[in-house]
This record gives sequence, structure tokens and C-alpha cells, in this order.
Amino acid sequence: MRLRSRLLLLIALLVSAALAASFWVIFRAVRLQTLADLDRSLESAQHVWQSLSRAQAQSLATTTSGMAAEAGFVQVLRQTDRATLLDYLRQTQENNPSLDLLAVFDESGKLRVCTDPSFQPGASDLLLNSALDGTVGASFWQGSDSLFLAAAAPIYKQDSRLEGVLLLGTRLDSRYVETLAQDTGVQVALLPNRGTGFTTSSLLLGVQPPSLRLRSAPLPDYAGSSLGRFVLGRDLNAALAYVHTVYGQLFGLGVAVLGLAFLISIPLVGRMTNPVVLLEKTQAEMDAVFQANSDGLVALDQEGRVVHANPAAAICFGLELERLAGQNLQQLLPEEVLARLVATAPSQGQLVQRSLWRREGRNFQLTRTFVASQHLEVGSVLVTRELAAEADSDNPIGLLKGLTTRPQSPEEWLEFEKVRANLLWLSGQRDSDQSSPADWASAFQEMSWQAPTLRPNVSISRDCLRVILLNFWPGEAPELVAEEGGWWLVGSRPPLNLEREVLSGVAQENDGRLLEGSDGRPRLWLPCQLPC
Amino acid sequence: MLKRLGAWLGMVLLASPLWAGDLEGVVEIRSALGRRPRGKQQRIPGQQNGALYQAPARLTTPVDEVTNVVIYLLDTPGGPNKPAHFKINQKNRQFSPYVLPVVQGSTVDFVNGDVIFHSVYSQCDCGPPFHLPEFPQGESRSITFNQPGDVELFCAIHSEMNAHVLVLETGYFTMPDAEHKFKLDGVPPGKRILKAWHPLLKNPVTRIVEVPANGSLRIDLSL
Repeated sequence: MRLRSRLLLLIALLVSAALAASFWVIFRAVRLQTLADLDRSLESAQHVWQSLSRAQAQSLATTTSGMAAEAGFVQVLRQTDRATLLDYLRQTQENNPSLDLLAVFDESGKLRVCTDPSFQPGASDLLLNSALDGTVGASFWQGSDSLFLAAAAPIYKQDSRLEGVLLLGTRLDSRYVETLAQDTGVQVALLPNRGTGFTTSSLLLGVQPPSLRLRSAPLPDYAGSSLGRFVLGRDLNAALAYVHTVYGQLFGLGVAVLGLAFLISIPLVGRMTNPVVLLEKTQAEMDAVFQANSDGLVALDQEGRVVHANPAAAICFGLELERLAGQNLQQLLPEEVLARLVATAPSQGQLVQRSLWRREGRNFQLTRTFVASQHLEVGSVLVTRELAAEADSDNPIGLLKGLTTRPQSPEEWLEFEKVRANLLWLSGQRDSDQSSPADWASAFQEMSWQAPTLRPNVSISRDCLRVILLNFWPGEAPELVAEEGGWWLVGSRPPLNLEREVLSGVAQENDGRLLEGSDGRPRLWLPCQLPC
Repeated sequence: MLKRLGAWLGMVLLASPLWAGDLEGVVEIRSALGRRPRGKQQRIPGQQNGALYQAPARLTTPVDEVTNVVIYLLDTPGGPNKPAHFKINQKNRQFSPYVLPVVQGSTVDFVNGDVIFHSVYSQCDCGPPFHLPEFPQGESRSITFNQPGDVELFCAIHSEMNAHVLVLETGYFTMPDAEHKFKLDGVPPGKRILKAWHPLLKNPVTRIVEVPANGSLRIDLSL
């Protein structure tokens, strides 16, 4: 469950990261595009400003030249005194609120009258000089205290004889920049070299923030000399405010979607845990089957060590279940038997079945199957089957299980020694260091078999004989041939040295004979009665 | 025959002084006549023109300003020109002639030759202001100039129309011809003050000349 939750959390984080990266890329592109749009809008605003300025200048120039040629104005100019002319100009100014300055110069450029008492004409006013040259012109114009958009027109007499110059001006003030800001949609600042400046945004003054995009244009007078700067600006953050809003909404929506997905995923996670529970349940069931199975089931790792074993397997091998785990197959089976199993086994999935004898004499089947598994801890499975109840007498030759098992305790060691001494005694190779098997008569009784006598005509338990012989009998299924006075036991393959030695000892001790045929198969004759 | 000869001689003697000289010469304009005094700053060649609007200079017919110069003698009564009736036309929104020298007491008729109305008024200091209200085409208004001086005339409807009537006390005056030559005949000999007047000159150009009893005195005037 933790793994699933972590996986889901990781997926959620990856999705969130992907979404965030996507939004970042989109926002980055939008930001770059907005920057380009801002620059274009500023360039466009500058063109608008220039066009508006030219249009206003042309309009003002037309007004100025028209007034300069107006008979009423000229009549007042010629027929009245200075005070009357000034009143006339002020009345004209009242009728035209856009006109902030009206001035009349004589033909030599000397100021005759002006509506602005503080106005001091400069001697180097090229706009005025140009009008005195007969040209109607308009341009930005430096007044006494502020900038003007001014136009000057000559006042003519007949045959273009100059009588004077009329100058009209519109002050570039806050109203001008605010109107232009409304027309262009950008922030405007008018920064004259002399006099008061105006701006629609304080961002355009002082140290501009990095997010502010600016476009500056000079304010030329009639001669082209700079009277100041005209600054247009737009704040990127303000332009991106909507994008920021959308981005925040998308972020919130993403968080909400992720939260909703998380909430929805909780029952899904719960459902996903059900298979785990089912698996655990199945595993428990399989464990129950495994434990309750009458067949001995042993799981071996690739090195042949017992990983799992069920109680039936422990019974088959004659060991406690706890002690079976970790045992190597080499400890459980005789080396020769193991070699036969390995030599005869091994293709994957092939069932190898062997008949084995427990030490108490009962027979059981040993089945070994290789498991097609990539798991390193599982190399093969041994399936053992108890066949004692079936009394498989047709498969009499088995192996004494546990003979080579390494004793794990003093009792086991004692048991092992008793069996070993008995076998040696039976085979005629008594160990002088060992006591007689008669000393262990009680032990023999416990093992429910009796030691065979060495004299003829003495009956011997067929099972006991099998126990004795199968341990050293070559081949799997010895052939029993009854003969008067005894039995022939025929091996299925040539005996090994140890086997030959043991069989020879048995023959010698029982007045029997050991023969080997041309094919090497041993033939052991025992002059004994074998009760079946 | 003798009667006829005596009558002819008598007419000649009556018609001309006994001793008189001629003044003649050529007038040329070398000064900035007709132009305003320029300011200190002139347009710098190559400098960017910051004009937002610039109308071309007014197209006018070139005027030979020399033909508007009046040459007269100061303090010389008499002369060939006498008070008379003159006419100034108002045609194509212009007074024509632009400069009219007359002897004191002359009368000028203003004739409207345009299809539009014109008027005539003056505010000069040389006499009482007058205003001849608007009158239509074909009609005329007259006024007599009794005080000497430069009387500048305007049309109250058309501000650019103007003219000058130079009212003189003397009849010794003339205007250069198209070749800029002038001649004053029958000037009494002796020292005379000769003035050359032009509307755009603040002060007329003055020359003291010694008029010979006989013959011609050449005086070239440079304005």
C-alpha cells in the first residue's frame, strides 16, 4: 500500500511538474510575445504621437495663417492701440480654449503684444524668423515657463509685404499628456529641458523598474534642436496582469484538480490494496495446502538448500520441520543418490521420481521437479510421497534416508552410530571401537527390525535385508530370483567399489556368493529364507 | 508771321523758367529694401529641421521695387506736377498702382474693378483717418488728400490689400521708369534737397544737389 501510494504520489508530482513546466513555457512565450507587443505598441504610440503632433501643428498653422489674414484682426492690428489689440487677442483666446498663447510681432520681429505678460521672446527663435521670412510654420516651441506647440504666420500687406507675425501656441501640459495617453493607451511623460514636465505615470520618472518598456523621442524645436524628451512607456507587469490572473487561475485549477484526483484516488488505492489482501489470503491458503499436503513438498534454492518444507516432507525425511529448513540436499540424501538424481534430472519441468527408504524401513517416493522461476531463492521443488501404506514391494530397492545426514545432536549422533555399526557388523567390517549391536538391542527393537543372523536357514526380514542391501546395491530395482536354499539378487548395473566391498562382505558373512556377470551386473546369492 | 513767332516765344517763355536745370540719373536698390531685418540666428545648413508643419512661401509676382521709388525735391514749390484727379484701381485684390505720389490737394478716385466688395481706409498720422465703406464692382469712392505725408491705404475686407499715396507739397517729383531711370526737368538752379522715398524705407534717402542753371545733373541713387 505504501508503495502504491508513493507511486501515485510520484505520478501526481510528475504530472504537476509537467503541468507547471507547460504553464511556465506558455507563460514564457506569452511574456516574450507581450514584450514584443509592448515594443510595437510603443512604436505605434510614437507614430500616433508624431501624426497627432503634425496634425495639430497643421491645424494650428492653418488657424494662425487664417487669423493673420483675417481682416478683422488686421484692422484691429492697424487701427487700434496696443491695449485694444491685447483685448482682442484675449477675447480670441477665450473663444478658443485650446490657445494658450497669442503674440503679435512687428515686421522686424519685435514683440508688439502678447497674452502672456511674462513672455520674453528670444532673439534666436527660428520659428519666428521663419515666419518673418514668409513661411507659415509650426513646431514645438519653448515658452517662458513651459513648452508649446506653436505656429507662426506672417501678416502680409499687398504684394507680400510683411507687416508682422502672428504666433499662436498651445501649452503642452498635463492635459496634453493625459489626452495623448488616452489616445495611445500608453503612459506618457513630457520632460522639457527647461520648465515643468508632466507625466501620467511616476514610473517614467527617476529610476525605471526593469519591467518598464520605454521609448523616448526628442522634442525638436523648429530648427531641430532638442527642447526635451517625450517618453512613452508601458509596464510589463501591468500588461501581464491579465496573464498573471489567468496563470493564477490555472494554477489554482491545477491544484484543485490534483486535490480532487487525490481524493478520488484514495478509494482507488483502497481497491488496489484488495489484491494484496487477496494475495495474502491466497498465500495463507496455499500455505495451509502446503502444510496440510500429505505429499512432502520441499522448495530448494539454486544451491540445493531447503527454503520451505511442509510437515509431510519432514516426516518423509525423518527430521523435525524446523531442522529441515536450511539443510542442504547433500545432507539429506546420500551422495550417490544425489549424484543419481542430478545425473538423471535436470531438464526444466521434468519430473524425476525415485523410491527411497526411510531408516525405519518404510518406502516413500521422492519426486524432484525443477521450477521455471526467475526467483533466485527458488531453484527446484522436491515432492515426496509416502508409499509405505501402499507397500510397494515391487520396488524393493531403496535408499536409506538419513544415512548420510549429518547428526545435529548427541541423540542423532548416537542413532547414527548405531545404524552405522549395525551396518558394518552386518557387512562383516566391524568397527573394533564400536560396541556390539547387541548392546543396542533395545534400540533395534525401537527401529522395529532385527538384525539378520549369519547362519543359514535363519530367516531374515526381507525388509531388513532391503534396508541393508539397498544402501549399497547397485541399480534401482534388484531382481530377486528364488533358488532352493536361498535367493539370487541381481543388480541392474555394475557395482561401485564400496558397493562391491559391502556386498562381498555380506556374501562372506552369510555363506553366500557374489558373482559378476559379463555385463558387470552383480549377482548375490544368499542362503537364507526371506519371509515375505 | 512775326505775330506767330512772338506768340510762340511768349508761350515758351511762359512755359519754362528762364534758368532751369535737369536732374537725371539711375536708381538702384542695394540694401535690404523690402526685407525685414533678420534675426541673429539663421537656419543652420544641414541641421535637422524640427518643423512639424511648414507652408511654402507665398507665391507673388516679382515686383520691381525701384518702380515704387518716388524722387522728389524738398522745399521746392511749384513744379511740373499740379493737384489733379487720380485714380487707383482695386483689381484682383490689389490696389494699383501700389504707390501714387500726388501733390497736396489732389483727389484720388478708388475704382472697384473686382466682382467682390472692397473698401478703403487709412489710419496714418498724416491726416484724419478715413474709411470709405464697402462698395461694389464698378463703383468708385473719392477722397482728397490735403495734408502731406505717406497715407497708407487698406481694404477692410481684404487685409493684404494696401497702397501708399505719398502726398507732397512740391510738384517736383518723379518715379523711375522700367529701366530705373528718372529725370526731373526744369528744376530751379541752386542747392536742392533731393529725396528718394520708398514705402519700406523708414527714412527716405536724402541727397543735396547743386542744380545747374542749364544742362543736366546726373545723380545715381543707391537705396
